[in-house]
Amino acid sequence: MERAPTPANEEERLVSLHALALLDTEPEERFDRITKTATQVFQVPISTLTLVDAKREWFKSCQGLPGREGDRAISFCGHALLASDVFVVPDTKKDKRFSDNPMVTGKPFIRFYAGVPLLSADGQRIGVFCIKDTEPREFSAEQQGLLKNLATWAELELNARNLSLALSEQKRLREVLVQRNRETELSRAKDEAILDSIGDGMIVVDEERKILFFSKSAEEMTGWAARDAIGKHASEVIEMVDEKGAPIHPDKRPIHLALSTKKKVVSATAYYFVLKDGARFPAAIVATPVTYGHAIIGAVLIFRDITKEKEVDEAKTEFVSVASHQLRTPLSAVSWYTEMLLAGDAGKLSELQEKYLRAVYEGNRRMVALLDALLNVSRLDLGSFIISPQPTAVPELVRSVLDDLMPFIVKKNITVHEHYAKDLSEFQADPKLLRMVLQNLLSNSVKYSANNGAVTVNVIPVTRDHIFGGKRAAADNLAISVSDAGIGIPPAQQDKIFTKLFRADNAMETEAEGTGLGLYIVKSIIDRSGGRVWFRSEQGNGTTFYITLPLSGMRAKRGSKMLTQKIISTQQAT
Amino acid sequence: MTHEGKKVLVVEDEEPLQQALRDTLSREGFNVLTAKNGDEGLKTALEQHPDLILLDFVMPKMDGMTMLKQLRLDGWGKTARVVILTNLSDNEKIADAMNSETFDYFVKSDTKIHELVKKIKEKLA
Repeated sequence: MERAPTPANEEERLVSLHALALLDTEPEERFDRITKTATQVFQVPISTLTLVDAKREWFKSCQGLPGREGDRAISFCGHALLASDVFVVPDTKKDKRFSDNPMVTGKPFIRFYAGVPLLSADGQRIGVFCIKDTEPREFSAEQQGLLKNLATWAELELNARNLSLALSEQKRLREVLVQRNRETELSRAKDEAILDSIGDGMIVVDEERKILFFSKSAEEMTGWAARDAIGKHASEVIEMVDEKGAPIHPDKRPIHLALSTKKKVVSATAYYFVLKDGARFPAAIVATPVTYGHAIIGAVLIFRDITKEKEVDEAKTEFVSVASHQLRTPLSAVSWYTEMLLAGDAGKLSELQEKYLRAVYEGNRRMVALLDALLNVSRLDLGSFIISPQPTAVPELVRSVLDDLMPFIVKKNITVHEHYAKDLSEFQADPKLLRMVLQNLLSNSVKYSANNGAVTVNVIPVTRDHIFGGKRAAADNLAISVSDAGIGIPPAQQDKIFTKLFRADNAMETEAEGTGLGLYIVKSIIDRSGGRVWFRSEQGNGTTFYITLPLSGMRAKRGSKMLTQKIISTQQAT
Repeated sequence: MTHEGKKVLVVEDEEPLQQALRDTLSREGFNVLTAKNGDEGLKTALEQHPDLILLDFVMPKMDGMTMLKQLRLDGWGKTARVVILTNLSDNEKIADAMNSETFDYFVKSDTKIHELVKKIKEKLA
C-alpha cells in the first residue's frame, strides 16, 4: 500500500484550509445537495466532499458512509488531493497502491474511486470531491467531465463565504483608495495652487536639465506656456545674457552650476532673461540642487524680475554722481576764494579777519571731507566701487599715511613704532583702498591717543595658523595691526563700532569732529576684499585693530566708481 | 620765471571758479584765456594754441570729454597739454580722459588753488 503523500507547501495549504473555518462544522444542505446529486448521476453508493486536514480526511458532506472522518495516510482522497486532473482508480484490487488498503480489503470494500482536487480562493489544494463504488467501473471521459463540473460546484460553495468576504474587502479597499485619491488630488490641487501663487518664477528640472515643472509666474514672466516648456531642455526655453547682452553659456548658468557643484547658487552678477519676443529683464536667481538620498535628481530655479530694483539702483548711482558734482562745485569756490584771501591775494588781512577766514576755511574743508565720506559710503552700500589689486609695498603705504598725519603726530608728541616683517614682498592690494583703511585706523589711533602717547603698526605675513589678535589667523594671510594706548572703546558700545554713523560716547567727548563713517568704510572695504577686521579694546587703556587679507591679494571687483581717497587727510591736514 | 607770458586756457562754466583761476593765474604772470563751454573752448584752443588747457568735465553745450576728443583730432591739438579739472570722481570718465593722453587730473574740491598753480608751473617749466 502506498501512503498518501504530503505536499511541499503543506503548512500554507493548512492555513488556507483552516481559514475557511469549515472543519468540524455541522453538515450543510448546500454541500449535501452536491454529493446527493453525484450518487444519483453516477449511480454510486458513496460520495464525499472531503477536506484534507493534517492527519485526517474529514467529510464536510458525505453520502453512503457512517463516519465523518478517516486516517489521511490510508485515504484515497489524500492521493487525489495532489492529482493534476481527475484521479481515477477503476479497480482498486488491480492497483498496487490500494489493493491491500484496509478500506479495500475490509469495510466499506471500495473497488472504484474517482476524485477531483478542490482549491481554495487563494489556489491551495484543500480537499477533494469524490465518488466511490463497491464494484469496479470504467469511467468515461464524459463522466470525468461531469464529475469535474460537480467538483467546481462544490468548490464554489466552499469558497462562497470567502468570496463574499473577499468581495466586501475589495469594496472596502476600493473605497479607501477612492478616498485617498480624493485626498491626494485635493492636496495636489492645493500644492499646485500654492506653487502657482508664488510670485517668483519657479522652474524645476531633472538632472539632465529637462524641464519638469514650470510655474504660472514663470509662464507670465517668460511668455512660455508650461505645456510647451515642460520636457524641453532648460537652455531651449531660457535664454540668458549678461549686462552687455552677451549670451551666457548654458554651462555657466545657475541651473548647471547648482547641478555640477551640488550647492545652492545665488546670482551675484546680473543675469538677463531674454523673452520669446526678444525683450529682456534683469533677474535675481536662486538655483538649488534637489537631492534624493545621495543623488542629485534635479534642480529648482527661482527667479524674480528685478527691473524696478535695477532702476532704483541706477537712480541712486546717478544721484551720487550728480550730488558729487553739484555739491562739490560751491565747496570748491568757497575753498579757493578763502585760500586766495588768506594768501593775501586781495590785500593784507587784519589778524581778526584772518582768524575768521581760517574758521570759514576749516568749516569748508570739513564739509568736503564729510561729503567725500558720504559718497564713499553710498558707493560701498551700492557695491558699485572698484577693487583693482596691483603689487603694493605696504610699508611704504603706511609711511605715506604717517607723513600725512605728521602735523598731528608732532603736535601731540606721539611716538610711532613701525614693525615690518623682513620677508615682506609686494602684496596684491588696491593701494587707494588699503591706504583709505590705514588712514582711518592710524588717524583714529593718533586722534584718540593722549599727548605723548604711542602708536604701533605691525605688518607681518602669516604663513601658518597662529593666534593673531586673539583669533586663529588663517595661513597665507597678510596681518596688519594698529595699536594705541588711547581712550579705548566702551565695552557696551564695542558691538556698534563698525556701524554707519556711530561714534562712541568717549570719542565724541574727546574729539567733537568725526563722521562716524571711518570704521564703517574700513569694514566694508576689508569685507569685500576677502579679508577680516576686528579689534580688542579696553576702555582707558587703548585699542588694537587687526586686519587680515589673503596673501593671494585683495579680491578684484569690477564696479563703476572709485572711492575718493582723501577722507581724513583733507579733514585734518589743513 | 620761465612760465611768464605762457598762455593758459581755462575752460570752465562755473563763473566763480573760472574767475578764481583767472585771477590767480594772472597774478602769477600767466596769459589767461577763458571759455565757458567745450564749444568755445575748442574754438579758442584751435585759434590760440595755448601752452596748457585746464578743462572742466561737466559743462553745457559741449562737455569736456567731447571737447578733448575733438581736440585730439587736430594736428596741433593731438599733443596739446590738457589738465582735467573736475568735481566728478567717476572712474569711467577719468579712465576715458587718460586714454586721450591727458597729463593729469585734479578733483577741484580736494585741491588747493595754489597747489594747482604750482603744478601748472612745474608742467610748463
